[in-house]
Amino acid sequence: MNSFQRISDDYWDRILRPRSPWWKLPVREIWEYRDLILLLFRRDLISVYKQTVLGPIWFFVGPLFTVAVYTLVFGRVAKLPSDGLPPPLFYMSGILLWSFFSSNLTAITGSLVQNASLFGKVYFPRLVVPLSILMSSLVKLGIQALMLLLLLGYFVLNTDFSWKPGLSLCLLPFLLLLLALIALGLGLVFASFSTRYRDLNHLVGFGVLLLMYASPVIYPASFVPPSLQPFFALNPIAPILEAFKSGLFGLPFSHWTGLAYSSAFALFTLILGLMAFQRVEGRFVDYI
Amino acid sequence: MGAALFVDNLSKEYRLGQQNARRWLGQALPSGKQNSDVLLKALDGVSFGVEQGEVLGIMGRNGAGKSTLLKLLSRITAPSSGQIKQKGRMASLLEVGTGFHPDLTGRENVFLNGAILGMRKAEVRKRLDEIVEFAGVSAFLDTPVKRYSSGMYVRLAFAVAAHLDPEILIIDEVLAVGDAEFQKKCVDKMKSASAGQGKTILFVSHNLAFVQALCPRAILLEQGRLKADGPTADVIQHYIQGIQSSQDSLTRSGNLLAELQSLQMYNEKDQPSALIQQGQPCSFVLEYHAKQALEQVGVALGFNDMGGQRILSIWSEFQQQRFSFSPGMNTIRITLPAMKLMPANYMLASYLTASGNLVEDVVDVQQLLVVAPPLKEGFAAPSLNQGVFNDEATILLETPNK
Repeated sequence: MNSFQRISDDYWDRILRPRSPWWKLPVREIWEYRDLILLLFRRDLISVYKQTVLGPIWFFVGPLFTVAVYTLVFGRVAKLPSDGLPPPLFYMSGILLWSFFSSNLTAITGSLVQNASLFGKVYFPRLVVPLSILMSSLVKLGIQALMLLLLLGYFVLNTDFSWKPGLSLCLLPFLLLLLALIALGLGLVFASFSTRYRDLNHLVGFGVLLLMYASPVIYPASFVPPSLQPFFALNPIAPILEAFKSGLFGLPFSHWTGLAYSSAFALFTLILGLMAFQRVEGRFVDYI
Repeated sequence: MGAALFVDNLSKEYRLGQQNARRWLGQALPSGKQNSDVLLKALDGVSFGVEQGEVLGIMGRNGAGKSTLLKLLSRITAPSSGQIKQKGRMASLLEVGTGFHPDLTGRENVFLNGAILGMRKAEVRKRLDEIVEFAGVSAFLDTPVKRYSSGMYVRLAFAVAAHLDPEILIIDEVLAVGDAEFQKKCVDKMKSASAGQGKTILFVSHNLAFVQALCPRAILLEQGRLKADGPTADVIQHYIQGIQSSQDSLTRSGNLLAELQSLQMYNEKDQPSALIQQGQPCSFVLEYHAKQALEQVGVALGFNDMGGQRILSIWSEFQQQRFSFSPGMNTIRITLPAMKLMPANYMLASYLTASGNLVEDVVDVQQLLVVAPPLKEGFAAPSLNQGVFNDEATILLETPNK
């Protein structure tokens, strides 16, 4: 035994200790597991349409129905304004980014509890699962973006709608990054706490629904009455959605302050999320 | 060969208690009720080292801390105190088939499972043929695994893990799955991994015969502490004695005018031992305490397999013998000229009658391990796959038309 004690720590490849500090992200290890991220992402995509007749077409059906229902309920019945755009285009552009954010947030929040049996049997860097979720959401986003383009094409060809995207559309990758980081940060915080308090899973489902109504998805930001604007400005998602719509439809762009706020929020939640995650990562299997 | 693994004063505590709002409030309001949580020490200051290429058996009864140790070693959960130092890649077969998705095909699952276990895609691709052949599922490679038989499923899962090629491999009870032929394949694979490729293997099993056959050294855990560490045969003795001393509460039936007090086994050298070598003489000493004098006493010693099935009975009635017990201690010695049971674990039982009435029937008294005799190079060891008994025989080649 003493002979083992005398071996210097440099000899060993790995030393497992009770706790590791939160800033020590296992970046190298996650990189070594990059194939797993890809395979989990593939599994998520494939398992959606395995043993279905329509196959990948199901990825289109959901958003298509949502747009149809929104157009009918919010556009026709409630007669909410749509910034002078054809309602289906307006809703589709709102849903596109919103569903990217909300599906990431709910999936990441549930990722630890849902994969508990897997985590309980084998080790891999736990962050691999949220990262693979982000990837599959990105693919779903791509598919829905395709639908948006088809819809745009339809309206350009069949109506007097003319499409003049603004230069700020180039911000799209940055907007997606912001949404992904906020979803990851918040998701990790909730996921970490939900390992002890399952209540959070229900709460987040609720919260996401409420947040949608507090975000310019089914109505334009200009529709919010001035008395509520200060509260509206607290929502870090709103500037991102607005900035996207401005860019996509060439509307005047005045969202820099909002985006700066969103960026700060994203950074803050990301650090908070990683801290919370690192705290539970080593041990959540014990009490999940 | 250098060191492969060092477990240094390792402890793990579990908090037994409800995770709910009351607990939360209890923490927030210190004046509230005392925290009623119980701390369970699943592992308590365990230390041991393993050299590269060593095959170490890990033994212990249920709840002794084996699973906790494995979880810590394979990084599933973090220790409460102490540390684990590892050299080289470590993989564990705690439960095979982890992450298999029923809707994905065999091929897709091999890649997914391989990645979960830490393999790169290219590595899996290189070994795919080998894995599929080992599992014997080549015809069904592109079928979703939910259509597999459970045997195929387990074989494929084990095959992926077995081709993982880690420097340190943890194996837990996986040999309990699959048919005899597949088990043999697995044992061979393990043997070649440790002997031929210098792999370090930690092997956990309740099957003492497997541990004895595969591991030169073993450790024994008892209530979270390291109880023994040394040559497997010695550790098995410890283990079996530990079980015996803890079984004060045997279930006995009959009129109990006499009760079994102790059952001791002796090997061919007449030393007390729980290990008996096949083909060697051995004896069993049973001590009964009689409340009164008993006449026409018949004594039986039963050997049960681990499934509780009676394999062999040594009964005085078969020898046309009966005894008289006097009040107090009565000692019976049963000697077998050669142990003919196949190498495996057995449970001993005792059965006592007097004048045709059942006095005492008691099972699971003591565990016995029959081990294989030393083998000449290249010969197969007798095993339960070939039957329950192994008898001596004269086998000659008689050329016809001599």
